Amino acid sequence: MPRTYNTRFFSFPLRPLYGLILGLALLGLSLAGCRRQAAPAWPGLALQAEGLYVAAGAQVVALNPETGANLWRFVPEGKTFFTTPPALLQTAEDSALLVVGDQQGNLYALDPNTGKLRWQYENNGYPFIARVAYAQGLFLAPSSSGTLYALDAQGQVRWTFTATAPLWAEAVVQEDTAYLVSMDRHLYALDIDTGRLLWKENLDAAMAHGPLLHQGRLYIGTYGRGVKAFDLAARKVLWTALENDWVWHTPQMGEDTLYVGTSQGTVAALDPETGQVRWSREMGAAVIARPGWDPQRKTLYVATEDGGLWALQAKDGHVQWSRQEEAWDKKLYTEPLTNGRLLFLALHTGTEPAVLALDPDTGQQVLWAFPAKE
Amino acid sequence: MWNRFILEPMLNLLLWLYAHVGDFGLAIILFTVLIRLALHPLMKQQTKSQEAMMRLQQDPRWKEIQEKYKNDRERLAQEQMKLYQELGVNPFGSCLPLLLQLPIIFGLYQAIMLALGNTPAQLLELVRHLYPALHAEQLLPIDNRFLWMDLARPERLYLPFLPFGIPVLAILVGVSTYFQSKLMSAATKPKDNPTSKARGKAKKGRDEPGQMESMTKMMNVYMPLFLGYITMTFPAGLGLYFLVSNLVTVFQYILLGKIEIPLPWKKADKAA
Repeated sequence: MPRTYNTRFFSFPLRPLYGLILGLALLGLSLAGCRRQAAPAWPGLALQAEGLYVAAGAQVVALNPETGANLWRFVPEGKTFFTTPPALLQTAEDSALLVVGDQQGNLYALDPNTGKLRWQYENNGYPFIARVAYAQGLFLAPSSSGTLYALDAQGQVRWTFTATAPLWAEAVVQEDTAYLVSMDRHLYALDIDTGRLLWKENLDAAMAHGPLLHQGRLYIGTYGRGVKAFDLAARKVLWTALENDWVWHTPQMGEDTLYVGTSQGTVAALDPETGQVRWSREMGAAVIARPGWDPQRKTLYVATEDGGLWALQAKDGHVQWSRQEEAWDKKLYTEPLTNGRLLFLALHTGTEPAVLALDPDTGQQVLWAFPAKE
Repeated sequence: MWNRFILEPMLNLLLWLYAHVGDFGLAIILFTVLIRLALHPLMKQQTKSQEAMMRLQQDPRWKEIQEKYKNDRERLAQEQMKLYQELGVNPFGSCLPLLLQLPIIFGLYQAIMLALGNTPAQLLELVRHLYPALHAEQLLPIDNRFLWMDLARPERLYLPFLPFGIPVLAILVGVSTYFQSKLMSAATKPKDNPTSKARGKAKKGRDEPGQMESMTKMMNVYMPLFLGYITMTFPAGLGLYFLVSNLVTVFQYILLGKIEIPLPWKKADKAA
């Protein structure tokens, strides 16, 4: 017997509805996915003796630095994306906290040993981008809404300060003053107790990464205006180096030398006093991640955007070893960290945490990987 | 290729406008108007072809061959083709301009979304696509505020006496899409529209005009809801583009003489 079909199902008036649904679906797909959107943030790493912490995608994981074993995993409810690097903070109550922020404007304070949530702060939905700082009993959390939140030990707001553009950079504190750089091109000095503005200086450059505070000076990486050294006592810019270059990270301080990488693909060693270039090296690809510093080996680890990892001698930039990362997206945006025995490298997957542990002397041997390779 | 020829020129034009007007909302409005006006000849062609197709489908000979060859699809196609040629109608005449417009419209959407990046990772992506002449370091940061909106975030208007935000832009987009669709469907109908009796006949015969009409009606309902929903959940910059785009389309139809506005002086002329 020939098979029969219910032709009515495919006929008018339902047929136009299929066309309509298909049309809407196509439009939706075109709008949402016709072009691969960049992940909103790069992975963040934090390291202490007991744990290596990675915030990437929608989760924070704690790993055993020696073995790569997963100690705990924190995945908040609802759809989210972690946008700040994890901050390991030793609080006044003599307990450690791991603080991370997300794209939905939440800050999570976790117990670094267990991953349990101690407190959570929710702002008005603007992403937190900068690493949270802690000083004098306050957590300083800059938000992309342009507001700096000062939270107490319970995660309650003590004071706020608002700049005229997004705050993407970590605040630094010296004595009773918090220093904050902003995308609005200003450096702000605030009273740490009240959040009152003490003074501000226009540095004529958008700044998205926290300054390095060293011996009364701020060293600041800027967008398109190189690196600036700002003297806090004199309240003036001492020098500007690598003018016209884009620096996407906080400068790194080695032994009396300042190191920066640029998106033009250069790594430079600068004299912190004068800003003079001691040596520089073309890396062949953009250097977005802050160079990692190994005081034991006097080595600088430079991760390039195209997946290259270079160990450079701090004194002259001579290449000790290099490796090319082939896994995942092959892209590196996170500062390599070392505990002396191992070198940790966070890989940009765009969705989930991925870390490699390397031998810092050769860089070639992967001692462990997370997630473990099948 | 896509980036070089579609996305980057549009993105740089958008940011060039921003650099000159100093307001990102205004730049999106100008940008949308410019692009839509540049596409006006294509739209004109598309409207003409749509009208010709509608007219052809009301032709008695069309209905006749539909009826005559309803059981012979091949012959029906041949006869339809003959009629197309005889009346000088290109069956793809309305699709081609639409297809040509689509990449530009997607490029427009992408340019707006890329310019609204609000994290360093998204900013890096943006900077990579900018022409050196634009001096990105001077342009940044892009101020996303426009009226009460943050163009990089879904829009809500918060009033002090209300515990929730009102999605004003989503409502405006939904309403304007509805009216735009209504006006468009009325405008693309041929002037010698068949009577309701003829339309009844057409429906009975399950012919294409009946189906098209039904589809248009459904589009008129679902499209405003869909675009309203997108506006509610996507950054407000995209909603602003939808709204301006709807208004410009209505204006274009007025330019083409497809919509008659009952202006008082026109009434007086008619009476005279």
